[in-house]
Amino acid sequence: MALLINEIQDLKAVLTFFFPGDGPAIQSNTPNEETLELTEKFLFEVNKCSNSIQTLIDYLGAGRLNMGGLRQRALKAIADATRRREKRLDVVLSCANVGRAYYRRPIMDSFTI
Amino acid sequence: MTWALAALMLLTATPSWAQERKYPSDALCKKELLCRRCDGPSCMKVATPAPWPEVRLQESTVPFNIGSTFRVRFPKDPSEVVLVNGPGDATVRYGAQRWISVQLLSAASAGLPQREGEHSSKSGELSYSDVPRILHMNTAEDAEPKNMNDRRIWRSALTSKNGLLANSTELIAAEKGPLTVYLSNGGVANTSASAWVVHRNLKDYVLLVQAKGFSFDDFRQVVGSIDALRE
Repeated sequence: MALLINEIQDLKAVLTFFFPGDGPAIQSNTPNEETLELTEKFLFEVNKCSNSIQTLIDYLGAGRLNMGGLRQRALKAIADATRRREKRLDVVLSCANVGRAYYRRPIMDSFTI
Repeated sequence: MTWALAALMLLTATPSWAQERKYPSDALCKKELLCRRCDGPSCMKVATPAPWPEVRLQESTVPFNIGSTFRVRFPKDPSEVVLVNGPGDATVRYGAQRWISVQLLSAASAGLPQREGEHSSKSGELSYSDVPRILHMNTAEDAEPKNMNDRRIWRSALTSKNGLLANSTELIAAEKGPLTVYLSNGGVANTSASAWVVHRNLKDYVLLVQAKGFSFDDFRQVVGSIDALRE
């Protein structure tokens, strides 16, 4: 199912947080279902470091990080946390460094230009 | 005078949070029981030492300098060369589903301790350039370093190992002059291979090369073409 406009905005917010150097490309192109799927896999990888994503989701009261379930509640919650520059995201960002390096290009490559 | 000196030291000292911020904190590790754990079969994979990858067809390649440190030769006739943040961050495309990318990654952007320059952290021995070695040569059974800064670097590499190397059946480590490369086939998210290149005199930077739609043999040749531009 195609992404809704608010889901696209939320996904852009999450990706801009993790890949700030790609901000202009993220804002000027359109993420799609493949982008969402890769972002989900990426967040699963990041979560292996200290359960950092699930800890954040728990704190935000947004349920569980389930494969295929990101768009239900967690995506909006994480996006809102990045917009608020939530302090807890610092740990997430540090944890993510190797995963960020691996997933960055495939995620950016999935955008619809 | 003493007061002025103390004030100056306070103003110029690195803020304590910059060096002491826990990543992830030991308390959090204990609570979550996950920091040290690389869980899964790929945690035990280690790279096999091998000769530097052989380069063939060098005449039909395009040289590409990455800063003042690395030079790589790409296969000829790319359809597009995309520079994102300068030459250390580029994708060379050969059609829609076939590309090679290079990313010069830094300790600063990774949020890990730096060993060079004004933000250098004196505590600990490991540097960001050790991340590829830890990822490819160490396993979950190896003892963690005792120093906190070293553990941050160690954990950043090992906690993701199972997922990032899950599709890799060939892991190779090779050296040429000041360069060491760690190559693996079968990357994440439909990438076909990846290589981390480390320069022995560059502590805070590593080069990550990834490919999509390239055979491992073709990718090895691209990686084999990488030269150091300085000692």
